[in-house]
Amino acid sequence: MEGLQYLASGFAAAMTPANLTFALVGCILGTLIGVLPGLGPAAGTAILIPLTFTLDATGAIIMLAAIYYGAMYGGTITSVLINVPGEAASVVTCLDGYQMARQGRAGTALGIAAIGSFVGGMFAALALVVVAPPLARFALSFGPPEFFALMFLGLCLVTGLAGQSLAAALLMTVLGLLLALIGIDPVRGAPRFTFGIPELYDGIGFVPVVMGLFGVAEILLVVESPFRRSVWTKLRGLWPSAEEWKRSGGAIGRGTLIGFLLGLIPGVGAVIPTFMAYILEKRLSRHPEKFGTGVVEGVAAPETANNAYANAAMIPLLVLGVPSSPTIAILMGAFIVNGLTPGPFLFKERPDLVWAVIASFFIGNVILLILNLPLVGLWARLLKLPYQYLCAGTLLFCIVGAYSLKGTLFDVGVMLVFGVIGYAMRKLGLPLAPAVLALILGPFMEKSLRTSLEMSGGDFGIFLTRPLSAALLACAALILVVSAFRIAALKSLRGGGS
Amino acid sequence: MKRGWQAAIAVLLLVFAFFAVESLRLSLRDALGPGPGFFPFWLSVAGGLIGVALLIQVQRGTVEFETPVLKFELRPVGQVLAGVVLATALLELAGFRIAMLALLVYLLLVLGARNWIAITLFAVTGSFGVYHLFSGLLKVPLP
Repeated sequence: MEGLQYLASGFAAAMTPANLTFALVGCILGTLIGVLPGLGPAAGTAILIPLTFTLDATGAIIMLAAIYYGAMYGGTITSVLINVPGEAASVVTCLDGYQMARQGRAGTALGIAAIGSFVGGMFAALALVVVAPPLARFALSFGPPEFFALMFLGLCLVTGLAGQSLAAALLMTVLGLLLALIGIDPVRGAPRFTFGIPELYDGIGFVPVVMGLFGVAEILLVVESPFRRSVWTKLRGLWPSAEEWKRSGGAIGRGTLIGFLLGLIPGVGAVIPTFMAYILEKRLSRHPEKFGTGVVEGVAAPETANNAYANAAMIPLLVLGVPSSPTIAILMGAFIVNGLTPGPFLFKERPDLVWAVIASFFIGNVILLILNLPLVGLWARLLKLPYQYLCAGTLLFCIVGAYSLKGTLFDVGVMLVFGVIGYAMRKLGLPLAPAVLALILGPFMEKSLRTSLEMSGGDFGIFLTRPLSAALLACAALILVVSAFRIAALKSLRGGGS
Repeated sequence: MKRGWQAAIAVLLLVFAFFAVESLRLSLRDALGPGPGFFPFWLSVAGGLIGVALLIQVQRGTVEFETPVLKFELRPVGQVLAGVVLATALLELAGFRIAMLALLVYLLLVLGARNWIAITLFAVTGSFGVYHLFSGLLKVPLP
């Protein structure tokens, strides 16, 4: 178990007072973001990146990862207490969590959600320790053709699962890739698509773009149709009864497995595991008709799956350098801002950092359990914050964040332009995820493609003659074909239904 | 919604055309293999073809939209954006604290906040407080 040896050294690095503080602050900020309706994990992580600019790379990544999984948990509180999911993955928790709150069992719902999240998160983090070293070693044997095929597969997975039109998702992917190519050509050093603007020589900044697409766009949508809250539920007894424990045990176990396995697949997103865990519990239940009326398994299963997914989704990023969702892509952006490229080479070159970050996942899960059991009443009070202050504060942080990247107004302008683009895309229902992932993977894909073609003297056959690359490309093609059939089948089903 | 999609695809096709033309000005191939224009050119071509296919799908009504009607509430969105753009323009002229103080008061009033004590406290904390947090504590220089 070489992973455990590395993990021990990771704990030594992560348990320094400074890194513990970063994990704590990240968990608090993440939970805050999750609690506030309108701000999802992606927007929250993006707008809080500037807070980490002056930290060392290890501290910065620990804090941002804590913000990410804190936000994933925070959404539960609003789902249970006011029937408003703080982020998309908590939608399914509303079904039974809010009904439990109406029956005066909000405390139990939040308690079981916190415990399930803890179990799911710890299992996924432990699995990461076991899986990461051999997988990273295997990935070290990848050449440029394999890396290109792997990134292509990741993009196809995200594209294939994003929305109701495959063509629209592909279009967004191409747009993201093209925007990623603005700036100095990484192989020859020639400026491309820069209009002679010096600020564009470094490319369009990923951080201002995601701040615009997620932060500013989200606020524009909120001011267009402000949310109103009037429901308030008092909290009592967080600890579930013996009967509720008995019913939740299996749900937590199954939710952990579903969340973990789906977290390994790029593009699945946090919503699918939560719904799958909920549907599975309903199918296995002796009283499926009671789901939706406030059964504890209806909260335990999706919440566990949600957190297991959040931790497992770090595996493709850390080991292969392929982000599986927009929020993970933003985390990858944070690695790059700190001069690091996630992937197998990071395990070789900076094992101290990688294992400290992995150890921080365990610490973060413990911190979240502590934060979310005794302090849940405090978080609930934040729901009284008027939306005007939330919007103004978020925009302020976006401006500060974009400006402080390089100290120029250019990045603030980029953020605002992409804010308007993100707003329009959300209104039109165009998928954002493929564009964001393509934007972060674009430069790496181009470099791998061109290096591969240089190796083969311009022969594209290199991607098909190497077995692993050919297998990955075949999987990518299969995913696109299956996605096209899936969308066509859904359409014909709806057509038949109507 | 259909018109919205048609307009968006038309804009994207223009973007792809721009990238394709610019890529051709760069070399597609050179002595070492694929040149700086190679990847963006073929991406633009692929984007153009997908865009045309999607446009045909939209025209034929085979694309299902999330909502049938596209509704914009442009007034509050425009007011917020105008305030942010103006404050950004003033950022280096008036300084972070003044520009953000003015922006926060403006945004809160435009969005309907009326409690002057809360507005003042929030605006002062958000401008002077954040300035000192970033410049003093985090050592991130702000204008």
